[in-house]
Amino acid sequence: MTKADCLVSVVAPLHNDAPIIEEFVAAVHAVLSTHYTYYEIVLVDDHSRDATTETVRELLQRFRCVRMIRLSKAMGFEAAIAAGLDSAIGDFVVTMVPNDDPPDAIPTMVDISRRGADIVTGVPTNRPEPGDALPMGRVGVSFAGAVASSGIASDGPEHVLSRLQPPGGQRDHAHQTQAPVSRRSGGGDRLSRNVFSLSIDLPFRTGAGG
Amino acid sequence: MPQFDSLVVGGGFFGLYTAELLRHAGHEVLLCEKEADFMSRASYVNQARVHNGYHYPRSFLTAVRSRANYPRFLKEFPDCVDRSFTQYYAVGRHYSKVTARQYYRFMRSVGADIEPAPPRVRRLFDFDHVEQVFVTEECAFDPVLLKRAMVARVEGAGVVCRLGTRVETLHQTAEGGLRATLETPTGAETVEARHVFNCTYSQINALARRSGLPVIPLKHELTEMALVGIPDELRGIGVTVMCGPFFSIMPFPPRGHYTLSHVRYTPHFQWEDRPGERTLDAHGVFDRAEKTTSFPYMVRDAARYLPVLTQCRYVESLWEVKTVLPLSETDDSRPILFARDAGLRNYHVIMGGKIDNVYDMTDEIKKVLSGKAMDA
Ligand SMILES: Cc1cc2nc3c(=O)[nH]c(=O)nc-3n(C[C@H](O)[C@H](O)[C@H](O)COP(=O)(O)OP(=O)(O)OC[C@H]3O[C@@H](n4cnc5c(N)ncnc54)[C@H](O)[C@@H]3O)c2cc1C
Repeated sequence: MTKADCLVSVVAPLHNDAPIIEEFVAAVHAVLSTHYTYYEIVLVDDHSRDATTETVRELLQRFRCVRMIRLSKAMGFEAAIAAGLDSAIGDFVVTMVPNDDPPDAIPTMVDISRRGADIVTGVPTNRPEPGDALPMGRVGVSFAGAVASSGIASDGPEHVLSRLQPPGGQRDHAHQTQAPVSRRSGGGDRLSRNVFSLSIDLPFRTGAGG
Repeated sequence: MPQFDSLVVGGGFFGLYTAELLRHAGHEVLLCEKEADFMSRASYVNQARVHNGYHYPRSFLTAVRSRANYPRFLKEFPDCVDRSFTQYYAVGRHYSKVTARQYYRFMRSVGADIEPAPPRVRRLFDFDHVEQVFVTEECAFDPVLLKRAMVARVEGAGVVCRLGTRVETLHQTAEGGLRATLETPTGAETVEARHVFNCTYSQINALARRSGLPVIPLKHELTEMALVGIPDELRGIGVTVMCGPFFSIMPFPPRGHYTLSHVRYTPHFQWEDRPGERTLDAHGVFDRAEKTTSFPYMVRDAARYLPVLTQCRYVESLWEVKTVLPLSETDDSRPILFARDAGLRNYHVIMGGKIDNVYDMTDEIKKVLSGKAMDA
């Protein structure tokens, strides 16, 4: 299989996620290394209090593609993603919530973006009903996978923040990310362009990941 | 068996300089270089910056030493430097270990010339990512011209030079001299010298280990710089972004292109020589290493600060082992290693973290030459 000639960044916010990071990174790495020659995984540690930081430090030794940003205090999911997007260097940036979002969706989303979409949002199709047990106590976090096309080839880096796409717009908005974090002026306009919504089957995990 | 006063192992800039110095002090000197030419390793494959302090905003000593050595280097090698460009230092807005104000003040405190860059240059930068851009006074050296100058000097002084000659082992003789076994293009040989100077940079411990000598703690990195063709806007401009996971792009005189290095992507992997542990032959590691370019990463990150870099044209990568003293990790300083009688009497180890450190070394060698410990 020929690998795509673009650089893909995966940005993932982490908060007290020590038990699941390794499996997440391994899974994302497997997908990225199969499909792309150039890629990075930007893990943003939202000032975790558990062993997240140490675990990521170990992963930094093992995976050359992993980068860590540690926030100086816990600032929440959105700020963590924003920090990651601000530092990501990819032509395409995928934001993912570890353990919730399926790494297998990355190539599909990047492909759609390569064909012209500036933002691709994943929508969970098998979201549990309210009251169902969610893994890892991550209640209410919805799928954050999205792709921002930016341009080493076009007009310079342009990172747009994904929007969490609650199924049917029913979810509370506590975890919805805010408008663009692109620090570049005019970044806001870019959100309105060509937004494709991609619906993919998102199997929520029921067992706690490794 | 041939006898010399001094054997210098390694024909990089430091070995050449050391050999000449010893010769001028009256020694019969043999200089051995394992490669086919002098200054073909780290003394060629480097960013060619003549440091003038701007790189060390967190180490007063290194900044001051660099500033003392800079005019000396320019005066000694006026024909080997490239002054056809202006060096700009930018301070990163995020993730920098210093602010622009701290940087400016520090440089003023060590007496360095520093001014905000003119608008025509500032326009090239994205101020979302850089806080400030300064004009500085710094130039590049041409390693090929430097090699020619040094080889002429060394040969003129009467140093016996042998290329393609690897020093395999060193041992003390019963008389207290040092015996070296050499691997030459025509086979193995033995020579004796009263003094041996190990100037092999990344290979220092490889020679020590083969000779049963103590290992000196050193850290090595396999490094990559990308040689690039630059867009017209960057002609006459060198850029270094400080002080964190940033990059430098500046002329590499012998090739007529620029080198792009990146703090995050230039080192591909690292390892350490620790006393008491097995050490690796650094050039062996180099030869075996898989060398896949990180240029796509370097240029994408660097272009966030200097967008015009998207128009760089990749030519090729320059790879080499970079060696630093582990203690220099903490403050970014690059002190010289000068280990006198390093496990054997009159066996000395010399390593300079940058070209201009040669003057720090000169002073050390002179001390040794005049000291009582030197002559048996
Ligand atoms: C990527 C990179 C960027 C750098 N940028 C700069 C910069 O901008 N400015 C600056 O001032 N410095 C820079 N440096 C540092 C600079 O290159 C070194 O400080 C300097 O070249 C060291 O000189 P040397 O003579 O000790 O080493 P070398 O030039 O490597 O010489 C050692 C020689 O010993 C030979 N040798 C090894 N073992 C044996 C043996 N057993 N027998 C015989 N010969 C042997 C080797 O073949 C080699 O030629 C950089 C280094 C790197 C790697």
